[in-house]
Amino acid sequence: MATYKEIFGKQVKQVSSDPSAAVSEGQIWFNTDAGVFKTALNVGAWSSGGNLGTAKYNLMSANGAPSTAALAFGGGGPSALSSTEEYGGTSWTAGGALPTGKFAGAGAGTQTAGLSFGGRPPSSGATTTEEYDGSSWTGGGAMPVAKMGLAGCGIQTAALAFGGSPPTRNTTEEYDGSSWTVGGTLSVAFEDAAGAGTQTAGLKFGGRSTPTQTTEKYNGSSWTTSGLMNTGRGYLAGAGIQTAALGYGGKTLPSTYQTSTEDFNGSTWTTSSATMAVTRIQFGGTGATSSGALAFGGENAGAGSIATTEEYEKAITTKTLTSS
Amino acid sequence: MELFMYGTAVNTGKGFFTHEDRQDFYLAGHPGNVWVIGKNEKGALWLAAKNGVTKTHAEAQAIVDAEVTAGQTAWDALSDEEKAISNRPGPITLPYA
Repeated sequence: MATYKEIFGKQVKQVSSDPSAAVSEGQIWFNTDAGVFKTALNVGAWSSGGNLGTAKYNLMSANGAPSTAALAFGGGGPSALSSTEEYGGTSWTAGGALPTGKFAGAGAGTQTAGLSFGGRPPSSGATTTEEYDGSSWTGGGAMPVAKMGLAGCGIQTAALAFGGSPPTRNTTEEYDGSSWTVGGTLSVAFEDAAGAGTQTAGLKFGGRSTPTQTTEKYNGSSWTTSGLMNTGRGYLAGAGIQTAALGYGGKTLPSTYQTSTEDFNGSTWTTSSATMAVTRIQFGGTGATSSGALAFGGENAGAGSIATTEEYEKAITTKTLTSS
Repeated sequence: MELFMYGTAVNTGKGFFTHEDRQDFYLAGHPGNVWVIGKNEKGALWLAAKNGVTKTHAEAQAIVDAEVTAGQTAWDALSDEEKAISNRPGPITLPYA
């Protein structure tokens, strides 16, 4: 059998203590103190975050916010909630309340420049938009069509709203900070999908549609189809940008709740080894990159409304190599 | 060899389970603060560190069943409009191996 040196041209280093994470990714070494071979891999995993102040589902989030500075607003419990909560990386604190209770809408932007649009009530969907400045909400321009169960992405002054119902829609609207205009049309009408990216580089994936695995990319004027998710699902959440996104949770139709996570590289989806610890649908999600995301609230398969939060992070993890 | 152990522990938020924990053992949360944990040394240490209470599969399943039943009763009492925007809690079968 060939030796390591014959294959790679060098020997495995012997060290008495593990190297730092900054230099160890992809390396193999022999730890002389422990008497074992080790390696370091960049591994994604979900860990627990601070619990929301109130258990809620069908909530919205500023889905362009980083996972350490998230914004959750509205939701059902089961009546429409107006409360806002801000995440600081460890715990949630109360923010300014929405003018009225709202759920099943969409969000964009960040914790200090957030955007809420669409949703219900009424049961026919809302056209209203609200802008958050880090402490209070004020009214923005009305959407040209009432929607709920829609998806969104972008920032407060350049956001995208797409899909939704009723009836199930394939339309897109673009926000410029004061008014909405009609954008390109998706190839598939859907509701309860996830969105990521920006107004000129947007991403839609999953959703309650036929089929449920579809992905479409927006270039500022039109949508084109991309790789299918491995597990088609609705009521999921997403994070990241058009070329590096994360989709997680939700449920396959009709009712299998998911903990699985998928990575998108701009063209194809790969199922991650990282799974959330609890199932959740109709929950809040955020994350500016595919390396850091947040899942909060929602409905659990058996428990109904939940308040827990999970944080996704890719981190260098040292592993001991075994022969099995 | 059994693959899972069962216990109850209250999710206290940040740090309750870490990135490293998720690499070290299987972990799945269920109603009633029931956790299904990969049966290894690190999984057992985690449950003990969280002041958890070890349960048999049957005990854990009974807790989950009671929570699901309570959730279904609460959901059944909602108005039709409230039912339309939420989902009736469904049965959960804990893995046994």
